[in-house]
Amino acid sequence: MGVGFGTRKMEPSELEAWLSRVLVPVDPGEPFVTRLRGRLIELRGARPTRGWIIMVAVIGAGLALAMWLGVALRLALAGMAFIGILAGREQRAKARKKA
Amino acid sequence: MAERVRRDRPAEAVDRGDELSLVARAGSDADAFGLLYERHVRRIYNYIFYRTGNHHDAEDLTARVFQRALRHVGKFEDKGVPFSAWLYRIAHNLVANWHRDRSRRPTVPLEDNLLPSGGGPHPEAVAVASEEQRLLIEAVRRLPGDRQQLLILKFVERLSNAEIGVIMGRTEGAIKSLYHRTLNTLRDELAGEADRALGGWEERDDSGLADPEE
Repeated sequence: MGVGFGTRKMEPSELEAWLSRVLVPVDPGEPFVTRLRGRLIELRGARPTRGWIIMVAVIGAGLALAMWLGVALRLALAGMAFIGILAGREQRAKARKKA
Repeated sequence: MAERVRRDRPAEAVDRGDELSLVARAGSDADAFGLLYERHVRRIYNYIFYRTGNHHDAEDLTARVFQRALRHVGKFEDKGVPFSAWLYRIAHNLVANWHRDRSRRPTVPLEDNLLPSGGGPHPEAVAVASEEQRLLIEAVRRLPGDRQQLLILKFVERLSNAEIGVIMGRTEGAIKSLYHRTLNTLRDELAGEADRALGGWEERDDSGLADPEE
C-alpha cells in the first residue's frame, strides 16, 4: 500500500481493506490473563462479602440504638427524679403551712 | 509481549439471560465474576491496546478496568445494554484519563513490534509493511476517542453497526454516518501525511547534495 507516494486520496474501499489488515485482534498472552485473574480473586477474597457487611451494619445499628436508649432512659429517670424532688419539697412546704 | 492474532470469527454470541444471571451473582460469587472476566478480558485488552499503542499501558489499564468492575459490579443495572458496553465505558474513561495525564507529563513511548518476528518475508518488506502499519495506526490514534472506538469495534471485534450502536449508546444510522465521516477524515489525514512525506523528499533534493552518478 503506497501511502507515502503521490497525493492521491485513497478510495474508501482501499482504506477499509487496509484497516482490516492492520486492525486485527491482539492476544494479551496467557501469563497476563492468568496473573490478573489471580489478583482479582485475591482482591475479591480480601473484601468481606455482602452478607457479612450487612450483619456488621445491623449489629452496629443495634448497638447504637441500645446506647441511645440507655442514655434516653437515664435522662428520663433523671427527669422523673427531679420532678419527684420538686413534688416532695412542695408537699413539705404545704405540711409546714398547715402546722 | 502482545501477539497479533488474526481471528476469522464473528463476535461471540452470548445469551443475554445467562450473562445477566452471571452479573447478578458476580457481586458475591468469585467464580461468576471469573467467568465474566474470561469472556471480556481479551476484547477490553484489544480496545485499550489500540487506544494506547503499547502493551505495557494496555495491561495496566486492563487491570484497572476489571478492578473497577469488581468494585462496582453489584451496582450494575440492566438497562437493556450488554455487560460489555459497561466495561467499554469504564475502559473508555480510563483511557481518556490516561491521555490527559500523559499530555501533562509527556513520555517517549517504547516502540512495540507490530509484526511477528522470526523467519518469513524479506526484512525490507517487513520494514515497509511495519512503517505503513505504524502510519495507519498513528493516524487512527489521532482521531477523537469515539471514532477510534468505532474503528476498533468494527475491525478488531468485527461488530455490526447495530451492535456498535448498542455499546456506544447511539442508533445504527448514527454509527453508519459516523463511520463514513471517520473514513473521510482518515483519508484526508493519510493524504496529508503523503504530502508531508513528499515535501520532505523534495526538500532533500534541493539541499545541494551531489548526485553520485553525475
